[in-house]
Amino acid sequence: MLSRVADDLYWVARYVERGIAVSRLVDVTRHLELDAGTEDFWAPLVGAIDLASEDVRFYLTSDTMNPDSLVSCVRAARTLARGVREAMSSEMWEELNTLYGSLATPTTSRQVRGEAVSFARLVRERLQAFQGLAESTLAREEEWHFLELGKFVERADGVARVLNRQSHLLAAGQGSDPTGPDVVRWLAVLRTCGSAEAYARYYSLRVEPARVVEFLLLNAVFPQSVRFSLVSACAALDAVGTLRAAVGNDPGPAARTLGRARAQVELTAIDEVFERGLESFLTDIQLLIAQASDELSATYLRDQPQPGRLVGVARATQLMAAQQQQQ
Amino acid sequence: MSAAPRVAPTVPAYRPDGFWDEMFEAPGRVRPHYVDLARRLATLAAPDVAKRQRAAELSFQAQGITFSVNQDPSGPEKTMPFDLIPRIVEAEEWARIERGLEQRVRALNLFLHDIYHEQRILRTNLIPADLVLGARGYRREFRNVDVPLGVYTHVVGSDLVRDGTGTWFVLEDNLRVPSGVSYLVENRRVLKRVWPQIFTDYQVRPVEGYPQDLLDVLRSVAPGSDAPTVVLLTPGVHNSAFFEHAFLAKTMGIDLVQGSDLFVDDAAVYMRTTRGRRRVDVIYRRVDDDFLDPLAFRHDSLLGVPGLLATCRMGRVTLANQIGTGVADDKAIYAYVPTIIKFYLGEDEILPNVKTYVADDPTERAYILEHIGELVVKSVNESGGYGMLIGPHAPAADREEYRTRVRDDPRGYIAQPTLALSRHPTWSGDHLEGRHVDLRPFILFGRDVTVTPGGLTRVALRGGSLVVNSSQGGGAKDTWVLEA
Amino acid sequence: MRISVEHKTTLEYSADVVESVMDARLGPRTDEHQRWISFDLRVEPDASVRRYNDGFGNAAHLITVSRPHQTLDVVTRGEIETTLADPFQLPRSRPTALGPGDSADYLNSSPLIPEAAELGAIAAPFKEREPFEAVGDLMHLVHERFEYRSDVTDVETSVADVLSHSSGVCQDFAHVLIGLCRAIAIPARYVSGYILAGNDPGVPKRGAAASHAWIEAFTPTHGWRGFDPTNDLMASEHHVKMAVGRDYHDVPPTRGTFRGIADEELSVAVTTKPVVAPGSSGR
Repeated sequence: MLSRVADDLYWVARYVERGIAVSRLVDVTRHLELDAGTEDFWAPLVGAIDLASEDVRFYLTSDTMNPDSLVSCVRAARTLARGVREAMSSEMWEELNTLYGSLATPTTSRQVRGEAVSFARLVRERLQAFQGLAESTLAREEEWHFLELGKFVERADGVARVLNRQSHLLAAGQGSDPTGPDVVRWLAVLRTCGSAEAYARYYSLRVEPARVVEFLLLNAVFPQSVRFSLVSACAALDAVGTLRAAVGNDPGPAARTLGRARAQVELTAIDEVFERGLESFLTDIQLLIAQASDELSATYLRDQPQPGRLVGVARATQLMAAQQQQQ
Repeated sequence: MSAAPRVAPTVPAYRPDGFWDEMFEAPGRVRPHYVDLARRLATLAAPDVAKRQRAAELSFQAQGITFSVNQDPSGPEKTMPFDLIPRIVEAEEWARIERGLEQRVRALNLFLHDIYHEQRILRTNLIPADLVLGARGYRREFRNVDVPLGVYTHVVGSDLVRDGTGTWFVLEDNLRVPSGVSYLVENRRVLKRVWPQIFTDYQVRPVEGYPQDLLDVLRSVAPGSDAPTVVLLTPGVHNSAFFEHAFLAKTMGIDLVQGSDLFVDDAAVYMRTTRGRRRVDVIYRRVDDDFLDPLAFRHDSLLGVPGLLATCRMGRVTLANQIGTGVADDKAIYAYVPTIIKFYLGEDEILPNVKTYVADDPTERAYILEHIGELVVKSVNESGGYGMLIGPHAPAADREEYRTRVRDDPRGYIAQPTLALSRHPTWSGDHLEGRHVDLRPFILFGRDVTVTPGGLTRVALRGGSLVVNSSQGGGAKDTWVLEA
Repeated sequence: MRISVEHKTTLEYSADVVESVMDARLGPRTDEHQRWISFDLRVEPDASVRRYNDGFGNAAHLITVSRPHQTLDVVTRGEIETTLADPFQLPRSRPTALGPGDSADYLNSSPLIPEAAELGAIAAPFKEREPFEAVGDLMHLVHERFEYRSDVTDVETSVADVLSHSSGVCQDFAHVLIGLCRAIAIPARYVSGYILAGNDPGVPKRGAAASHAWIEAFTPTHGWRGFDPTNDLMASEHHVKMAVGRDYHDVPPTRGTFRGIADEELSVAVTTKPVVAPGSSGR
């Protein structure tokens, strides 16, 4: 498939997944607001400081200046999707297009102010429906693999970032016996990652920070975990790499880099993670993901005309100087 | 059928107003091929029609069948208004239109070949050489290229109108990158979905085969490859016809590419894919000549593919339509199409032209300047209803401005008498009213000429308006061609 | 006369670039007054070179280099036999009139030579003259009225600008003279080529270190003949043609694009030499 189309599909999937994560965050801030003593928790979670609760929700849902707000994510996904609509099923495109259309109505901003949580939930359901439609309407070909790749790279990166932002809580007393507010905080982390129920099934509701980290980072079968996401991303990348290799072209370094990130979460026990230091472990993972994403672009997604040296290529064509017939 | 009602009860107040009405031959008298539709309409209540109308609009909106207004990327996306009442064309009438269009397209392709090779017609006095060679659409860069099958225009959309006597005329030919065919297919699809019942009374010829027919044509002009790779080149998502580009690429199952997706190496065009480079054989381009290749045409166009023209000249890639076809849809050259048909085919034209005054000719220019209030004055290179003066409806200041324009740039203008375009009953609020319509059929030319049985009927939604272009408040109707 | 030509065009980049595409009109062109005996085009680094004919019947080459590179060297070498020893001599048979295509191309305005009232005014007094002489006199006029300056114009300078500052380079002189000829209905075209310079009378002096430009005008008596306003003389066997077109725009020696982020530097070197034909004295 065209590199540009693959690139755009990859980013559609990332924005959709990011939108889902942001909408969970809106949910979580609402819960936290109702519990006292958690103000210090917000800022790192949201990544924004000094905002009152109403403003936080505006910032997260409809602030068009915030590139990661829910509305911005939907808009970005839909704008890209419009340019590559021929590469997805009509159902997928129409799902995103009608969602975008409904956001553009004048009543929406009022609704958001009033009912941010139910609004966010509604958007999340539509974005999840988009993912579901991809699952049921796309052949397992390159289009599908690049969507999967985008979804899982975004998810692995997002969950790692949420954990990294909270790693300071563990520094105090990594712990066995969390205090009341801590329980609320760690529950919020789980909810932010859409994992509270699943965690409860695994660990019978006892919210222990180390267990939460283990679950979100290392669980092999739960689809919101970093490990599961990286394994899935690697599988998608292998699939496209195999197709590329089959016509005699180098599948590039991205698979190896992403594989290294996967190995970290597959082969490390939770105790070793804490021994190394959670923060540095998570930072490593995030750096590897970023590197893989760059390498992915260079090989599959943008302009690299030949396997070979990496060239800083402008997308636009330049005119050569012309020779004047001057003498 | 003798008991068929000759009066449709829902439309008691409908008045043809002295125009040629597609449905009514006289007040209260329905033309035979519309009788079943009229009977169906008679059983309907206004709210029911309104409901279906709304359902159709929602369907266009959801699918994103939209165009951007004024090529403004940040501007609003609009759907083309759709009128539920279909236009019906009888088989026999269609057969004549088909023959007329085929004749026209064949002659125009012979003309294009000639003016880019021997220039036989220019050595006669039939058509002024300067008019042809001085046309903005004439591309010297494309002279002496032997195009596959001799076909320059693989896709043509010609605009037909009927006058007060019901005679069909060709108003203009679109030989560059005609658009609108996606509406032809989608209008049918949507009408079937929101109002399936009305199809039961008629044997309507299907139009869904268009994308497959187009793909066959594109493959037939590939330079030598058995399994050619065909792509559709779009200027991008900001182009007003982007929906159509995506629609056609998807229904043909081919890649929708932008200029930056393609590059030339070793005199071959390649596209950048996730698996590496892939050779391209045929480019169905929806980009104007000017923007195709910065080395050959506009150097500031970085949308295009450098080296494309040279590759084309070497016969190593085929463009559809070919370069330089705009000369044949220049409105001043349009005036000579009957002459062109006679010269190359030795036949009289089956579908007549509208009488056209070419301002480049001094006698005709004088006539235009004197009668500007009765004429429609058009810029020869513009389309979409732009660059046009409708004399009888225009304020004096506008007429004066066009007089000046015609005097300053006679080669740039033509004029035609104002036609009393035929009308068709069209849903307006809660009842039917007559609105002016035209018809754009699509003609494909590869090994043979095929005219898709149907067309885009454009309708001027404002009462009395003669402008049917979607950019100027026009809408569309489904067009039914009946089985013989 | 035999002339050897070497034309080297070098593009140097400050960083790797890719996908260079160059459309070259560097010859060879054979007509009744010249014949290229040999023609060789080489490119460094390894490139694909494909020859084709353009819409004006010129030989052209499409050169592509897709791999990363920091220099692009295009070198042509040729040996040309020129035969027009006396450009004033009438041709053996009367030239056939131009067809409608050539007439339209070379009588109408073109991208860099739009119609200009000033051209008409300058040329008007020559209208009734015998065409061949009229072109010669217009050439003298251009040579006298315009100052040769290499720093006021560039490749896209149109005739209107050249007229306004009365100076330019040979490309601009050619454009003005073409515009004047067309203004009095004498077909005229742009010639891109080389000269073999010398100090004898009737031999061009300026233009040997790079490619040169002059014009050809079509007259009923002489057919196509070359006029070199920069050197104020008729093109003769000292002139070698690469390509002809309506103006520079149709026939730049090279035109190209690349992709990448880099500064670019262009240098051009041309060498022309007389060749003593082997064996010419032995017969």
